[in-house]
Formats: sequence, C-alpha cells, structure tokens
Amino acid sequence: MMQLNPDVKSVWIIYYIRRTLFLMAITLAVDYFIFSDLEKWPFFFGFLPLLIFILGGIYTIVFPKLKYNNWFFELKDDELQLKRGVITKIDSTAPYCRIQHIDIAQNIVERMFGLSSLVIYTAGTKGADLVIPGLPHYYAQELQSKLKEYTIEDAV
Amino acid sequence: MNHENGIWEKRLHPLTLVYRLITTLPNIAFPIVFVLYGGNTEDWIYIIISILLGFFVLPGLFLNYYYFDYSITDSEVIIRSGIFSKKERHIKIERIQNISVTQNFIHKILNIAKVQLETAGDATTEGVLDSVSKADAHHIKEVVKAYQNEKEAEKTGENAELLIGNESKEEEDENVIFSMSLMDTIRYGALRFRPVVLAASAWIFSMVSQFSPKWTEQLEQILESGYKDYIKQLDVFMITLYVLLGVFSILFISWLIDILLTVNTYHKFKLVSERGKLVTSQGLFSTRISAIPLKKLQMMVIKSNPITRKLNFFRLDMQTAGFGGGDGSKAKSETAIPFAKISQIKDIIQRIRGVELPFEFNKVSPKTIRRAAIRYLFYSVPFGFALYFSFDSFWILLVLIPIIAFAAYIRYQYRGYNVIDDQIFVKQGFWFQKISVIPIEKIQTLHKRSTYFQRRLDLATVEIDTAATVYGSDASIIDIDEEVATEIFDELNRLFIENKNMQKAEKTQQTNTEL
Repeated sequence: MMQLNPDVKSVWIIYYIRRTLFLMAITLAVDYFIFSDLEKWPFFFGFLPLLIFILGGIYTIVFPKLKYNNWFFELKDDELQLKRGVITKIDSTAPYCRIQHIDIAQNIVERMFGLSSLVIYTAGTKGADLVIPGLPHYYAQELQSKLKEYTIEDAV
Repeated sequence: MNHENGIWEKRLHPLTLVYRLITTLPNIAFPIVFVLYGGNTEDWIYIIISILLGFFVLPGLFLNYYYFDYSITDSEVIIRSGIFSKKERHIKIERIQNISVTQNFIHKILNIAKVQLETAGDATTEGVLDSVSKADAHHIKEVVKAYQNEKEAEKTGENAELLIGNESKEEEDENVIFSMSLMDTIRYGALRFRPVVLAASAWIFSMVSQFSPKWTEQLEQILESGYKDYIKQLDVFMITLYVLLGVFSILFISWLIDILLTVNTYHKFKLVSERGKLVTSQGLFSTRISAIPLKKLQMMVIKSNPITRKLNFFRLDMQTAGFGGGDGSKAKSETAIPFAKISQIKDIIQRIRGVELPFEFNKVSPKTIRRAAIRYLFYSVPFGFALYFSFDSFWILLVLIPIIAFAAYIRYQYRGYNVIDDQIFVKQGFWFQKISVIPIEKIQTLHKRSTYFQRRLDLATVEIDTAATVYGSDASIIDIDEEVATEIFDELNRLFIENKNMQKAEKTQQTNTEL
C-alpha cells in the first residue's frame, strides 16, 4: 500500500487553519450581535471564538498527522484500492473497468506544495467520485495516463 | 432520403394550441385571483396585468407552434424550433432507445398525445413532441422502429439483445407478463398504508375539523384553561374516547384516500415484455407509459409491509441506470409489479435474470441491537420530554424502554443478506421491508465503512454502489462482524473481477473466431 506525499499534511494544516478562522469570524459576529445583548448569557465577550480557537488549534495540530497515517492507496491488477479515515474508516475498491474518467485537480494551496488531487469518477451514484489527495503533480499525471489505459468503454 | 416512408417537416397537431392555452391560462389569469380573493373591484390593475400578459403570451404560443416542425429520415430525427433564434436538434435513429407516448387528462380529452424520444447518451439530447395526434404518435413509433430494424439488419453479428419469451419481429403482439384487475388495484390500495398519505389526511382532518363550530369552542376552552387543567377536568374514559375517535377518523380518511390515489395511478396496470425492455402502462385519468431497459437494469427491490407480507403479497421495483446513463442523475426506480403473490414475482425475476430467491438469509451481528437501541434512545428524547411534561411523572418514561428494545430487536430480526449465484441479496426493514437483488456484475464501487462506535464493537458496514442507487434505496449490509465484512468485501470484489475477466475473455474469443 502506498502513502500520500508527506507535504499533504501541510496542505491540510492550511485548510484547517482557514476553516478555524472562518468559524471564528462567524462566532465572533454571533457573539457581538446576538449573545452580547442577552442579559443571561453567562460567558464573557469573545468566549465562543476563543473556544473555537482552542478546539480548532488542537484539531489542526493532531488531525493532519492522524489523517496522513491512515491514508493508503494501492493499484492492484484489476482494481484501485483506497483505505482511509480516522474516526470513520472507509475501505473502497473501484475496479478499473468501472472508471469513467479521471481528473487532476489542483487548488492554490496544493500548488504551493506542488501537489495535486486525482479525482476518479465512476457511474456509481453514492460514493460516486473517489479522490486521492496529496500526490506530486508529475505522479498524478503518470497515474492518470496509466489508469486511462485500463478504462474501457463498458455498459452500465 | 426516403421521403415516402419518413416524415418530413411536419408540424404538431393543431389542437396543441388549445392544449397549451389551457395549460398556460392559469398562469395568465393568476393576477385575477387577487381580485377575486380581495373582493375589491378597484383592483382592476391586476386585470390589466392579466390582459397584458395575455397580449404577449398568446401570440408567442402561436408563433412557437408555427415555427416548430419535426422530420424523421432513415438516419435521424430532426426537430426544428425557435422564433428568433432557431434551433435544430438532430437525434440519430439508432441512438433512440425508447419512444414513450403519454397522455394526461387534457390530452385525453383532445385525443392527442405527447411523444418523448429517449436516447442512451447524454441526458440532454432528448426530443419532446408535445403534442401530436394519437395516430401520428403511433406512426412515429412505427417509422423509427422500421428504420432501426433496417439499421440493425445492416450490421449483423452485433450482440443480440436479451429476449424474454418468444417474440418475432413481424408479430407485434403484446407479450403481457403481468396485469392487474380493478379489484386487485383496490385491494392494493387498501393494504398500502403509506405514511405520506397518513400525514396528508391528518392535515386535511385538521382543516375540516375547523369548520365544526363546537370543535373550535372546545379548542378555545382548552387554550384558555390551559391544557393540563382541561385534561384533569375530563375523566379518563372521555379522553381515551376523544383520542381514539380522532385517531380512527384520521386513519379511516387516509385509508380511503390511499385507495383512491392508488386506483388513479395503477388503474389498468400492465407489464409488457418487448425486445430488450419491459414496458409498463398505468393510470386512470392520465396514462403513463414507461420503459425499463433490461440492459440498464441494475437492482431489483421487493417491497412489502407486515400486512401484505401476512397475505403473501409483494411489490417489485426495478432500478435502472436511466437512459441518460453514466452520471447516475437519470437513475430511476420503476414499479414493475405493484401487487402480486410472491410466487408470481419469483417467476418474473426468474424469467428476467434467471435468479432464484433464497429462502434463508445470513443474519447480521446481534450487536446491532445494542447500537439500534442506543440510537432509538436518542431519537426518543423529544418524545420522552413530551411524555414527561404531559403526565408529570418520571415513571411514565419506563414505557419507552420495552418499545425501544422491541424496535431494536425487530430491526435485527428483519435484517439479512446472502450471496448466491453472482447475486447479492440484502433484506432490511420490518414496517417497510425491502429485499434488494443486486447482480455482482453491476457493482460500480465497493466500500467497507466502520465508524468509531462500530469499531468498538468490532462491526462494519459493507456498501454496494451501483449506477442506479436512487435516493433512499441503498443496499448496505449494516453491522456485520468486522471479519465477515472484510471477507464479503474481498469476496465480492474477487467475484466481480472474475466475472469481468471472463466476459473479456469471451469477447476476445468471439472476435478471434470471427477473424
């Protein structure tokens, strides 16, 4: 089983910091406009953003490492296997003949680290697209062309 | 180009104008509603809006009709439309998978029909002819079929489509597999007990009961005196009588409504087998005809509730990947048999897929009872609060315990799965039981999922994803032992790969022998 590029941890850290800041901004607004007007509100102004800051901070420090240590994928003879998840663990297999098309996606954070995500589409409706994040860009391209060979037109 | 047999630049039926007028009139007249409800005759402004709307809309209707025509040649169907910006849509004859002819109530009165051309590829390339005369609809079907047969005759040696029963091309006799009498339909309606209808009729009941003057007085009394005081002043007998009466009348009304609705949708239900597909037709006021292409058939679901199960009646739904295919957005579930004895359903499944339904199912882990009980406990918290406050006693909450335990136990009892003959069978539900039949070759992706709580109990869930998982109809094997789950997961994967490799080998062998 293969692991992702370790740099993906940094990408995730940036995502989590971003999310924490966003939640802090929202709770700050709620605190300012709603809770500070309540007479019975037991906490001081800025309590909620502080709480988010602490929880988000712990999450940002602990989670990327756990997530990285629990993310595996493997290209087998006939199928692609994914193993991932910290709290909910998910094992998936996507047979190559079921792959409809493959995208390489790269957002600005990923580009900073030269990484990209491989998005694999099947005709399935539930876990329709499987995403492998944190692959070096050249490797993602390699995988894409490799998987393309396997994908054949196949009726649903 | 073959002009005599084909159809060339033909307009829709003139009665289409009447039809469109009838359907758009309510929109135009909508502002007038304000006048009628307001009862204020000075609101003439709304009438003017209506007239203005009519002034713009009505010529539009006519022009739309005038600049719309369709042609059918031996290679494609061409639909041209548009007043200012012209649009021409070409649909290749061989790509047309199905032609559905539908009639709603107004169509029926005007003796016209709506023709829909459904293709296999992109979901958006569909042609709609709304509306043509019934004879024309039939003619279009004939012409397209004739051209398709020609095309098919040209490329011989193509893989033959799945046939049910023996049907020759010349004979257009309907091969009816299943039909329902009026009595059957009524019986079906009487046994359905859909919660949606129950909720709807509860709402209607509350609306109607408003008109009884006594009822409102009593309601006011209740509100004024406070709910608790009112209940205390009544004796137990009266309360139970009130409650029972209310509940029974709601149930009765919903029961009647359900029967009527069922007769409306399933009147003269018929399942016909055609080349490569099953076609259902049904409906009292508006006839609905829809096709189930067997090539795209993914999963079959047998449904029942405790009462129909007791009487040995079941319903069979078929989920297809849709004509759109691929993206799953057009995935749909079609009822193939609304109401039939299990033997009949087994027979039809046998004919379509050659599958025998299993008598026994493997049970999921009994630890699921514990998980379900905890989950139900959380769900019943609001209910518990309501009980606590209305009876003012803590002991009443004990009533919930046996209910929760029983519900959790039943959930476990009625869950099961089995894998036989390249088919996966998943059974779930007591009130609304579903037995899903999934061919292994239709698997798209497989997932094994275990949440933190499941892992603590050494459990996991196996999810089977096909191209036709209609919302709320997923077939997951929930809460089986981790080891068993891994085993099934690997086994299904292996079976699928083997199946595909075998197909591939067969294909290459075929081409080799041809060469």
